[in-house]
Amino acid sequence: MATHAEHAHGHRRVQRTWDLTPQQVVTDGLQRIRAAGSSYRLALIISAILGVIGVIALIIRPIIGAGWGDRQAWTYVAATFGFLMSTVGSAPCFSVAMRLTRGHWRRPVNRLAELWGAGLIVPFILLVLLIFVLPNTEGRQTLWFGWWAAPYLWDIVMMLALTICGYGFLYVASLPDMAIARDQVERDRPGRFTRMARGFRGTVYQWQIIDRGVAYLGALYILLYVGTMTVMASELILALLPGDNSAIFPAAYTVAGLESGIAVTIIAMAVFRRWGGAGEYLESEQFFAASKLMLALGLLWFYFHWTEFVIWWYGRTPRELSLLKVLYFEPYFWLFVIAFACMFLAPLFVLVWTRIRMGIAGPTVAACLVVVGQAVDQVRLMSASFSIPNIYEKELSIIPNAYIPGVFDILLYVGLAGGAFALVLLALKVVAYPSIWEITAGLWLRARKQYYKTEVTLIGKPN
Amino acid sequence: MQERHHLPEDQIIRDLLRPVVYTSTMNWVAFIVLGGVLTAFVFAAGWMFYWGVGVTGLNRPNMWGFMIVNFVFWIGISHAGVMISAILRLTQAEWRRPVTRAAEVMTMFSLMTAMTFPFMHTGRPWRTAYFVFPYDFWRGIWPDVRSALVMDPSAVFTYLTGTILFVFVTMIPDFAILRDRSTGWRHGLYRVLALGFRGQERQWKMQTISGFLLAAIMLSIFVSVHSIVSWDFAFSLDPVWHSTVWAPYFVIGAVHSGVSAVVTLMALMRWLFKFDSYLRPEHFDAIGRLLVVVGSAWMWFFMLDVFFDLFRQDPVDLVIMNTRFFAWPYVLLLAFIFIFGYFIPVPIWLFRRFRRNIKVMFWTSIMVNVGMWSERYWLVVPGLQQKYQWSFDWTSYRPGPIEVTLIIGSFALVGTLLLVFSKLFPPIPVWDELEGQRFAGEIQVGKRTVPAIVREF
Amino acid sequence: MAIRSVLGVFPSLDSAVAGVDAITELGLGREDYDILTNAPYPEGAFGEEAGMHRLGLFPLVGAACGFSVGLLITGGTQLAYPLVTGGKPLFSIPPMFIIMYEGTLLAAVLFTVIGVLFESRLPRLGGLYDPRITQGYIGILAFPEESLADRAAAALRQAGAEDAILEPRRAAGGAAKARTQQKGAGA
Repeated sequence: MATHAEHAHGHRRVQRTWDLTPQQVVTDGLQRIRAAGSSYRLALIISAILGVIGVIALIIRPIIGAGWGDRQAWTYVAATFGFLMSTVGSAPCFSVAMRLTRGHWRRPVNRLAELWGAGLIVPFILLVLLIFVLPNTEGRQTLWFGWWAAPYLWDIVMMLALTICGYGFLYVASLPDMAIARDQVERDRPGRFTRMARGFRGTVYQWQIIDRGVAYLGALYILLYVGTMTVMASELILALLPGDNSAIFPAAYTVAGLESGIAVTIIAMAVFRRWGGAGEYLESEQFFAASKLMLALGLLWFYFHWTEFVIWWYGRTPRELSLLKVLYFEPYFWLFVIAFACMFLAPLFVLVWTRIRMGIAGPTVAACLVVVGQAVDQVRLMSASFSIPNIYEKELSIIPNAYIPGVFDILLYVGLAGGAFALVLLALKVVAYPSIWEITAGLWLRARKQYYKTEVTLIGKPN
Repeated sequence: MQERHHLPEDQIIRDLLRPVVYTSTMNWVAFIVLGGVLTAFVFAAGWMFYWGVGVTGLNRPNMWGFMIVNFVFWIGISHAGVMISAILRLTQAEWRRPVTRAAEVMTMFSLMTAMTFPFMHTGRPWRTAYFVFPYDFWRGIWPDVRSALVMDPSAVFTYLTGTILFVFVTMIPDFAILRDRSTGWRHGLYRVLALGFRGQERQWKMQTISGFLLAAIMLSIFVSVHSIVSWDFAFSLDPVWHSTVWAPYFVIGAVHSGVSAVVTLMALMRWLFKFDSYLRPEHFDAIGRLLVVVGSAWMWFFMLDVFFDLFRQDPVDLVIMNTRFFAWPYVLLLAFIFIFGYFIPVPIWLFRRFRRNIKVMFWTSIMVNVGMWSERYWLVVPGLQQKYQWSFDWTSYRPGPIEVTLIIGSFALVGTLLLVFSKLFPPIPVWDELEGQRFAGEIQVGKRTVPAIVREF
Repeated sequence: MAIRSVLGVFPSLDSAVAGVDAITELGLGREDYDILTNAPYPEGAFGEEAGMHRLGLFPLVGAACGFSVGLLITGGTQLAYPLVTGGKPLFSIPPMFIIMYEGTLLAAVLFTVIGVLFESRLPRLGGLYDPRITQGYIGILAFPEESLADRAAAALRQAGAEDAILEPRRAAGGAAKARTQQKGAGA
């Protein structure tokens, strides 16, 4: 059972991060910028190759289908879009949520979550392609109610705003570190950091701007993310499934996205800890707290899906029964079982144990399973919605067979995800990890103190 | 910046026990006023039981009206306690300390009040017992577990039992404090309740761990309760009720109204009991920030519900949505929902200056609950009113004076119960405040002294 | 050997910690004394408390019991009174799940509370205590062997205790029993 108190009382080892000096943090933060390392280069090359394969598959797949006219041919493009929105798109939301909670444990994690946002351009491009596959709003279920240029223009505008906001958020949150890199790495020869850091010198005013910029862009990002996911769930899934007006679905889709956003951040934490030399920054405190949130979202995933299921189960109208069949029980039953096991059961049974949450391996394994679950779930949803021959029916009359992917579908899915990952890796060239300014700010706010016969940690709460 | 004061321990104990030992004039005024309203409540209930539910505005096809709306409303308010207490305990938020007790107690009393309404609504509550409890073997007739009306009492009963036990466990140390400072019948009462507690290290450890354990369990119950309340409606095929989003939408709405009610209660306690040193602007600030998030999440679910009711363009749904949006009085209620429930309070709470102003927080929290009461009415009543296409008495429901009295009376009932509670037990946990003082520290950063808290890991 | 409890009542944290040192010097281990306070201090302030507990087990057992009872009621009633409503199966699992969930949590709460009381050794009747403790005084409740009791009381006084209350003399078996009752297993 979740005995947080055991954590509070039984876990006395102090995280090494807070004993570091500011100079050490600067050295660690700039280490990767000074010398990237062979494992980094290898990962970059592999993911770039995957990206190229993905782009080729993306071009070939519609050609062997019937182009824009064959909606089913675009199933895996939509699944890739959904998957990337739920991983690279949602991870920055995790960063914002951590800032809201104001715990110091977040400091080494924020940057990792924001970094994922560097891949946002890929889902944006995919949406631009997908928009041509969407039917106009005439005669179909829609959120737009005859709005001008809907859905095309507004979908693109929302996604564009999200993408810009994501990059802006990453940029503003890492601007002070770029200035540090400018002064430490490019002292003699001005380069990319000099250009990107502008004139940041760390004046009080500039810090206020950074503080507010991060807060406002973060809040805006969450609002845009929730809005975009709501609209996308409606455009790509609900609108294409006749009779499906499940109001919980956009929320379930968003929550699933947030869950896997945390999952990819946890995976990044594990990778950086193991291979990225960030062992002193990412310890059990970070994994414990992040996985607790992932567990909460896993429970919400189940709760939201359950409420949809139980309402349809009670309703039992032909409309609802056919939706239950197409989404859960007939063609995609096994995909749903995998998603259910990975997105809900795995986090629940692995992470409910405090001891496991306090380790590194448990949360990482659970996070990997969540990402797999997310990938499978996107395939389930998009295959179901993109395979309906007549979306203008009032209710689904025929349950189509499961859509079986071809080689290009798989290559496209894996390749484009790899491509987005390559962008994230590239971003590491200009964005320092660990976040120097945030960790340094945290160093002042922790103190060890002898309290009679025990030693306690004092945690400063300036706000 | 926190404005935590370092107060001597005996002063904390004295201050927090003041409501128990001293009754101010305002307290007496409150007792008398609430007592008067309660009398009217009892009279109205008696009148309805004597003459039957015909004295209310309930009529075919609208058999669920004010009383059911009020049931949903008070269940909603009851969600504050666990929301505040459990989540803040689990996240170890320091500002929970003065807030938890009031929130939990409010949960308890509002749940009790909520539970009276479905019974009253039946018109002959004593007969209801006869229908509700056929759990016996000799007649061989069992209630249908598939009915939401069986799940609902099981959930509410679980929640009430859990809350009472939760409150009891967290109050044991305070019973001990009261036991050691009282005489006469009060001493006897507190002695029994304190169970011989004497503050051993082990007992404190259990107290802390049980806080986490019970919070986690209560949180799971809390989500299920309002979900099941929503399913009382949503399991039916009634247009607009039969919505997949209702469960989480009800829960988040409950949290919105409940946390606002906690703000109201905090402000009242601050004024009535002079708890200025304990319920400080920083607490209102923190709860205000929480409310911005909760309120916005509620608005998102509200929008989901509305938009996806219209999504399918189903003619039956559209008729009711049309009523909700354009017909009297629903158009007014809709305005209340938007204006009072969100668009006045939430933008105000965005500003730190207002979040730290107790009067502003008090009035905005009241506003939210006006909006949320309207929302429940807006959700529940139109759904039944135009359920059948060929019904000849559409929009026939007009609440009668009896129902209005019962609704007003329910507020007096909760208020009286809270006042009586504060006469017997401290409304702010004394031991929790003392612990907070002991776990408070400071860190010096340059010229700035930063308030800090002790973490044991 | 017989145990005779001593309760030292200290006005401040400093003196209480000195009191702990004093009785430790007498040869009493961490399991031979207990600290009584009116609110928790950071854990370990008086030395690590070594008590074991099984509180985590209680909600699990409760949940299992509640789940079983829920299963029995929901499953049994459906089988005992088969009636088709709304075209739903005679044996409907989703509604069972909801009521079983409530039953599980209800029993988990009940068992947790029982567990808290059990592990806190409450309700407690008798034993050394002083009402000043809830005023903010700190009590050191020591369990020395009877021969050491007077020395322990003197040491506590010397360390700054306002009072050191000795348990009335009693038969050996009774005293040992009293100690177990006061401290609780493993404390």
